[in-house]
Amino acid sequence: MQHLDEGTIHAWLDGELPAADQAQAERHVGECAECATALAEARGLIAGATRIVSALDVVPAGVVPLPSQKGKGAVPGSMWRTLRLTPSRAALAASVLIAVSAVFSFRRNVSDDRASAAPASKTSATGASVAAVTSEPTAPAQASPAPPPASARQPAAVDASSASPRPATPRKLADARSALDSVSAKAELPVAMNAARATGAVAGVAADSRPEPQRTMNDSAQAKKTAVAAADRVAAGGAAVGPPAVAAASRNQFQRAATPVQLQEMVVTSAASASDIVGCYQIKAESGAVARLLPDRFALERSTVVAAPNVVRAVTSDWRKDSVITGSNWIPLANNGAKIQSTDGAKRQVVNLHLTSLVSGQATITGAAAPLAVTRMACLP
Amino acid sequence: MTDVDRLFREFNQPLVRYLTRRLGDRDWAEEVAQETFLRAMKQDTIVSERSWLFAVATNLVRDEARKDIRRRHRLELLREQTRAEQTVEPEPLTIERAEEAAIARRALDMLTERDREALLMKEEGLNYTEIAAALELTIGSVGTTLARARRRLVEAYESIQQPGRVAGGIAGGGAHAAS
Repeated sequence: MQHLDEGTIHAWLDGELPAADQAQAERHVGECAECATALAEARGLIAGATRIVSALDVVPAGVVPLPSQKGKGAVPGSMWRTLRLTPSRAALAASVLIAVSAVFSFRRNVSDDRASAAPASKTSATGASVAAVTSEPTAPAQASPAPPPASARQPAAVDASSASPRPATPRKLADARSALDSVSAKAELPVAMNAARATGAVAGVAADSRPEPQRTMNDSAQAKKTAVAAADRVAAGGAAVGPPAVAAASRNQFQRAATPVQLQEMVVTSAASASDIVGCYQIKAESGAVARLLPDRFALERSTVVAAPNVVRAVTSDWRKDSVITGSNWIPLANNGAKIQSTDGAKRQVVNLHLTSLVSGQATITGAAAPLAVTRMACLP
Repeated sequence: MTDVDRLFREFNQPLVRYLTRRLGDRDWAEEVAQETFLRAMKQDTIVSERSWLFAVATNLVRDEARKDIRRRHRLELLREQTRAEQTVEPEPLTIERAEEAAIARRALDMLTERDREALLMKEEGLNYTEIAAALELTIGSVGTTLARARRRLVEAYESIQQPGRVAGGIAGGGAHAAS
């Protein structure tokens, strides 16, 4: 039989070849190494072309383009644009942040002072968190008509946000001022840093009102929600892959993110990495290589269940996705990479996959001396 | 629901996506898609809806391109200006993704018109029969067209991404010719 031409191979992979021709082609590929190579190459080209075309999408597939909407029924726009942030408003917002940070820092300092004076049993209740400080039982001291004990006087005096409508006496104000002075020395640097960060973020947002798609801001609340969801996914994957601390750190990284800009970047990075690496792969088997828990052919697939780890599937000899490989999961890494973990009883193996081009890359396996070549393929549905 | 309503609901999204990929401009793509559906309204019967819509849209793009390039450039400038004032929220992009999109656009522009259209239609889910009808090709040549388009696209993309590499393979066609 003649070798298969490229058009026939592509038609076959596109599912457009009549059944009889397909069977004939399959038989031929089984016997002809040259055509088998051409088939593998065509798979790579199909996957590569699809990926390139997808890169053209400014909007992800399946999203109806947004018309210009200002009237009723409009899709809610960015909070930052809705607020119409200007530099002066941004500065005002930064000032408010500084003030709030100062109050919190002040409270913490007061709490620390009180903790040092209080009995040991009480110190355990004064944690670093603001919530712990505000939940301190200061109410009895405030409600009591009698002079409060020395240990409780200071916090009661400076608790400006307290619901108790007592007038501030000169003594209390003086206490508060001195306490603020002592706090400012400790809190100045971090507060200034926070403020600078916040100002930078706000200024960044103001600048982003210009039409630069790379810096487009979504609603910060939505961004944070998405970021936490993404963190959950990463954490879920990481929980199975690495020690719990890794997953916790990953989640904390998102939750600690203070500004929408940071959150936005994390979301985009996470989403882009995950979508870029999904696909079918073949690891080039080498004699003498480390025994792998992962088969030569496998598919990385994102989990459709929220917070569930991403799945790894087996791939059949005709490049169809097969069953999920139990004990294997993966998380996306930066720069077109993925960390795949496979477990089999007590055995555990990690494969770090990294794509160096559209259709090829390397797999570094724990315990292996050198990385193995990996080819990205197009799977049949 | 009228036939046009159904057509619009079913095909507007893929048609706009195809045209956006083809033109690199979503506003323009939406205009062409609208014009396509307007023409569909005037049509009594359409045998193969998807291939008809894609063929008409493709022809509109070609006609428009031929008609007045200068007018188009002017419109693009006006669009850029108005876009700055609109509240449309495009997909947030990282710099890397934007660069990738720019390289993809350049690579796609290096294909011939027919290869580009066939490839974009295939990516939009059209089968070989529909592509053949829309582009007036024989069904047998669609596979070859797509194979060539894919190879050239990938090679063009990689040559732009890695300028050191020789892009001679772009025009070289398949490495494994039929014997």
